[in-house]
Amino acid sequence: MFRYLRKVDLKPWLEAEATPEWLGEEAIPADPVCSFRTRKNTMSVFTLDDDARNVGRIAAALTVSCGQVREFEYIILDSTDVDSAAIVTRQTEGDTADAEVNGLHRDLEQISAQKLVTLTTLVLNKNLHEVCDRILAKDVAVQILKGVSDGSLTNVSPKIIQKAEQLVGRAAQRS
Amino acid sequence: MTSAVTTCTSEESMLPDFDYSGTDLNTWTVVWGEASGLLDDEVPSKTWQRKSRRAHEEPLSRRIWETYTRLLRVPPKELVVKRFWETYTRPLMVPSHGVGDVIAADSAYVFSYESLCSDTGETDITEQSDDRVAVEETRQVLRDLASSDLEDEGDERFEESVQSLIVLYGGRAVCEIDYLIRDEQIPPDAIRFVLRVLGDIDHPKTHGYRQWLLQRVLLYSSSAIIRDGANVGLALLDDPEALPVLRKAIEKETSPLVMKFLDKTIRQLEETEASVSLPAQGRP
Repeated sequence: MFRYLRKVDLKPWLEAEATPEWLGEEAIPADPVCSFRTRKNTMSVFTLDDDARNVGRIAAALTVSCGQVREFEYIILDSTDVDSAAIVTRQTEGDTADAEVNGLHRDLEQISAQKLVTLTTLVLNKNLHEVCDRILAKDVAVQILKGVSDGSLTNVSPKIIQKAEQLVGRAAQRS
Repeated sequence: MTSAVTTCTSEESMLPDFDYSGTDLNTWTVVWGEASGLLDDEVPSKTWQRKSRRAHEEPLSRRIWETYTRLLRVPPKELVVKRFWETYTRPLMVPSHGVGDVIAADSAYVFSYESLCSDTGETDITEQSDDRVAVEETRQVLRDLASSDLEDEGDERFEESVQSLIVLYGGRAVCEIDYLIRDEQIPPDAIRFVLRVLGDIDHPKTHGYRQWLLQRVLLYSSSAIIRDGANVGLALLDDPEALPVLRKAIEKETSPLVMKFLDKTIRQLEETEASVSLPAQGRP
């Protein structure tokens, strides 16, 4: 079994912890489904290693690509759930600033609305605090600076580096 | 440790600003007490009247400080100021107390004097334009924010707008944001966004006020996503002085996800505390 990382905004998942009264017994809220934000019926994910040690590196690579240093929020998908939802997985090269991270990229393809609802339902049936996670902005910043320093992150803009340094040095500067 | 509790006496005190200059606060009382939260009968309460909005231009915290030291002659580093809005009655935010009620120490916010008014010797009011402009501009930015689609996380334009408000108007912008949040005039999504931005600014003059606001929301908001926004803001602020409030928040948190994220923030701030104190310990 593989585990995939999908970058999401966790707000709908936080809200999903408290089931609204209007929701039927077996229904799921729409917002977590929409948070997966497919494009061309495809969703980008990254393969995690056994103990998810590469999460920080993936977060740094994706954050740099987004152009803003901030918290990195994600959901962990089990390959068994992806298979159960009959979603096709294909290895494709990612387009982040980290070549090694690009090699971890997978496309989840041929996603119908029904398949996406199935996948979301499977995730919602788990303990959300085990599958939803966040890397704080300061930790993302540390990872970015490390990546720049060791050369794993390339073409990082000065603005990103400056922001990362600001986040890492904020407390020290204050004291 | 000796402490002071501020209590406000009018409806307008829903708008207090700890640097005082940007508020509609007309009358307020400082009740001196000990860390136990009990009032000290030997030390009289002090009430100040403010005749016009701009009559006093010095920070409230500075006035507390001066009066306090005059009355009790306590060395500065021992002072802790507890803030409390007595007249605010919304149950979701803070419990209601009458003026002069004894407040238990753990129900008030505790800050070191230094964190509240690192700029005690000056006030930035002379650099500011009219209060009304600050209020209107802040409201406009937040109205725009509330009506925008925040689906695309981290809308830089709004981040910059909110940050500019703080830089330009200081405590008065924070005060207005505080008011709009209390009055529930902006939706939770927008509040969450603003709370995050409040933590991600390097602006020493409003540091204490922003931290206080984030801590209050974290402790008293009924919305998990708003509490989470405050938590993110505090992580960005990266000030270990928030640790007691974060520890208290995690104890009362009901959302397992928010609890998990609070724990992450606590661990970050503990590391920050350790790293900041190490060089100091190494000094001869």
